[in-house]
Amino acid sequence: MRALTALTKETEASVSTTQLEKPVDAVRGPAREGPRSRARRSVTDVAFFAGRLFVWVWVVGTLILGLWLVVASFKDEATVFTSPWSVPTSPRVQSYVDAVQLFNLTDAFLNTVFVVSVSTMLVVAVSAPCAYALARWKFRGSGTLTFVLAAAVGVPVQVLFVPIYLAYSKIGMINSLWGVILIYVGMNIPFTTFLLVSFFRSLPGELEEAAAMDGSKTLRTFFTVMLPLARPGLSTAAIITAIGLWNEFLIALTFLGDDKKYTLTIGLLNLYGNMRYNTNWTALFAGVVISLLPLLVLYAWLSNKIIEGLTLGSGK
Amino acid sequence: MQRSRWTTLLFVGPAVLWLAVFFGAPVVATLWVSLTDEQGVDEDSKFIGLANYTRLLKDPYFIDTFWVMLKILFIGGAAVFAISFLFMTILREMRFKRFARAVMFAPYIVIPVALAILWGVLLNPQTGLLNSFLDLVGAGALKRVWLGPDWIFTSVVIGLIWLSTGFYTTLLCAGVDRIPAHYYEAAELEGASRWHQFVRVTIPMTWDVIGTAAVLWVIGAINTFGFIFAFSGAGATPDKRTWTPAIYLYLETFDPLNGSLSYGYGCAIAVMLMLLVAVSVALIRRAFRREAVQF
Amino acid sequence: MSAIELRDVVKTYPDGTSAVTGIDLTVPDGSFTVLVGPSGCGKSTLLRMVAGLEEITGGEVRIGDTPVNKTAAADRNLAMVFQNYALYPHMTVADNIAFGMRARKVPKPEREKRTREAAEILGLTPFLDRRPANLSGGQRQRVAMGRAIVRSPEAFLMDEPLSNLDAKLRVQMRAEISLIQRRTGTTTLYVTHDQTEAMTMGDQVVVMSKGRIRQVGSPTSLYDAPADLFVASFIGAPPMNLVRAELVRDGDALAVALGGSRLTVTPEVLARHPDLPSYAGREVVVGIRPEHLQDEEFAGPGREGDLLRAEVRLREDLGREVSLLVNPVPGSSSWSRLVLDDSATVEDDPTGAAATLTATVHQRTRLRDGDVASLRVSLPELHFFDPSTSLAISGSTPGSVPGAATHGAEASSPDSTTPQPA
Repeated sequence: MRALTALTKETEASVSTTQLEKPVDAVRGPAREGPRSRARRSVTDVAFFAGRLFVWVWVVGTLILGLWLVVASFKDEATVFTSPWSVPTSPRVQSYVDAVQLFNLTDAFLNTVFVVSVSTMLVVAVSAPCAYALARWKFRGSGTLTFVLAAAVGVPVQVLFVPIYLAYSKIGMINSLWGVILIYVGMNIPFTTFLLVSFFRSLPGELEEAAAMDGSKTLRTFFTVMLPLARPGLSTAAIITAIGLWNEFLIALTFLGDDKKYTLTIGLLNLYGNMRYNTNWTALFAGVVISLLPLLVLYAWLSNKIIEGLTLGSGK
Repeated sequence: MQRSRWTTLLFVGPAVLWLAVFFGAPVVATLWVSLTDEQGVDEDSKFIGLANYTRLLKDPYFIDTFWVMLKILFIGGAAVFAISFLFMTILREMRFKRFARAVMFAPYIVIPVALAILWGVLLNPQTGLLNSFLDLVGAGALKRVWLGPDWIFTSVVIGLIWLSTGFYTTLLCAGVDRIPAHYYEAAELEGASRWHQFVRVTIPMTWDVIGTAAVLWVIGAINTFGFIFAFSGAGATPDKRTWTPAIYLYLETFDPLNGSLSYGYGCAIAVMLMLLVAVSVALIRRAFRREAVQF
Repeated sequence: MSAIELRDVVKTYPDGTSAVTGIDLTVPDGSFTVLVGPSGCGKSTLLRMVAGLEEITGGEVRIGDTPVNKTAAADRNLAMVFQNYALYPHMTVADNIAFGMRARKVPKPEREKRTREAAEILGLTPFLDRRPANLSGGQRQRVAMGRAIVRSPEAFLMDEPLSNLDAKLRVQMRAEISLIQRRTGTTTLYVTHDQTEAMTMGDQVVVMSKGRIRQVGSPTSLYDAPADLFVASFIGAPPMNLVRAELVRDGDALAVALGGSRLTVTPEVLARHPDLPSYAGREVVVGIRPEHLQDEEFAGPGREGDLLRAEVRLREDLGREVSLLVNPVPGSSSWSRLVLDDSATVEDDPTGAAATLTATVHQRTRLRDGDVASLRVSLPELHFFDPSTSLAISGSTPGSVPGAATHGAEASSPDSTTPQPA
């Protein structure tokens, strides 16, 4: 860590002296003057270069890995691993057909879309009014509720799923997409509410007062003034929830054992598991591509919003 | 402003009800079940006090998973934060910063199973890209059996670092971006070196963000499940060397390969996890507590 | 349209701090009443209590003849213009103006007709389809006004509506608001910290400080007969010179000893301040407005004992007039100035400029820095205050209860009122 921070220091120093053409050395003191400083500068240049190289290796490596997978999904089973770096002359779509047919990926895809979209809508619909109330009103129990929500954000799903499983077994809700939706919504309310509370707090309070003076009652103000203004926050919350649920693993694995009810994550896991009996790697890759495509398109389109929402949202 | 009690209830009620049924009740139930010998849906269970917990403390499997978790938490955490700080400082003044950040961040939003598959394809000893790449560049001597007993855990941790770093880099970058430039300009004018700027401006002013990042990492590390489950198991039971408490809990309660399902024991593990998260978060919050800096 | 009555209104926050105490005020039907005072004096809180945005801890607020303490803001049928306008950013100008009518379920054709009329009055017709973000500050201000006038409410409440505009626009909008108010005749309660706004716009001005009403009256009455040191120093720009001076016997007349000069207390002055003789031989606070100190050369004929000799420290040319900062002549006895501090208390000037007075003199004055000036004092315009109570020394002006001053009361001058007992 110490070496690393030292490196950081050197690299930053080199940027300011070499790129910013400012007479910074003058204020830096005598340590930087004379031939020694030149030698040091070249050291810092090298360190900074190394740092940037590391960044690019990381970025390019990640990209290559992803691209390789896409390319591989169009290759045939024979050459995919024997000549891993070759690019197919004519793309083969059979893997996609296989993936869809053999592994029932259509169902998994549709199940996922259904579960994710319904849960997301419900989460936002339930959390938004609650967040608004917590952000704006003081009522009996509001402090407790805020505390409970904050604590709930940190509670692992593992703590929830055993009793729910037992209860669902008794009432026959295992393998029910609606059953999973109910859990998903409950799981996501705390974080979404938290995110939206801070969002509603950032909206100017005069607008509600103006609405009140205009004769508007609480409900009308909420629906016609506050909700439309909160749209950016609501969509951020929805996107974050949707991404999290699209990738959700544990609950789906536990509650959806029937392959007609698989979600994409579970479908993929099963595809992967099947590789030991019946290798069809290109179909697996095709499956991965299919399952990632919607997210990656969304990400390419809204990456800034998603990144901001996920980082600032969790930073409260 | 005046508002009827019913209005408040209308706004807060649905969320509270939902949380009570699908969050509050399960947590309480888990606490209860952890004190029983619950075996399955149709089995009778009886109260056995803290027996599950005493068994847990003597269970070599659980102790192993605990070590795995600690290694991920501390070794993985040190690496993730070191690299994130490095990336943050380099990204700040780099071209194509947004692009690099977007690519780094991408694994965080990708299905863990897909990442596990990718990672497996990369490291497969026979057919994997890494070994084939090492052959290609004439460094065959560096080839290892990455998924074998000696390397599997390292491979898992490096995979976790790979998929987490982008998120933490972005989080730190967001914190740094909020610092108004004039603090750096003032520091520059006063002759502070870049190192001093880092220690005296960047760190104190991103202190809250660093604290939040630490909390998130701890919660994530303690509950690590999906990536390892898929990666080291390749779709089946994961390699024992990479079991985390969360995986052990899942296997104890739901894995059909395991003969006896023990819900009570699983719930005890869950309670331990929850306590661990609560204690760690409290400790971190205390360690990072200070007066809020307004800027 | 209705009168607004406040009876012994009190606002105390849960933590025990009190924002306003014992407010008695009548805003007559159709009047333009301005609440003015330094920040933190409770004027906005008072307005918000009338609006229904702030709960009333004690006392009663009536609109028309109806007590509204328990009425929700939405049901009081008042219109409010906020400091930063509080326009709904996601709605067009037309929707912003029509929102209140929509909330009150005015039928659509009627809504559209009234929106168009309001837009016409305010010159907003070309902008009806725009969003607030695409409007200039002045236009936003007009939309906020439009939202208020379109509903024909019981009263307009305005909370520093001009403070976000630049100086030039502020003067223009000031006039526009006054004109609109006269046109509609709607009772208006207007809050500002700017005494110029208060003086120019209000027909009744309420001066507040520290949560209390200090004086209620027409702008002229406040200017001519401030009831206490606070009002004296707050109303008027540049502020009234307030100095400690001794009231001495000069033969059988009284005189004010000020820095070596003696200002005669004429029978005219005595007539306005009949209580003055009882202060003979004691220290009083004398108030002299800057424009009542004139360069002798341009002041026209004077009388004996109305000259103040002082040294010019700084001359500021303002074009229309010249402002002089003057000190006692070197060697003569000094004087001690009182100023209004941040906590709305009038006290001895803590800075080194303690002896400096301001005189606003003729633009052609030949006085320069360092000159010893002969300044002619308009003796009848002198103000006298008791330093121990800080109240005006009067006796001639009939004391009136704050709030009793009625609309158009300028005619009966001067109708200052005595402040509330502290």
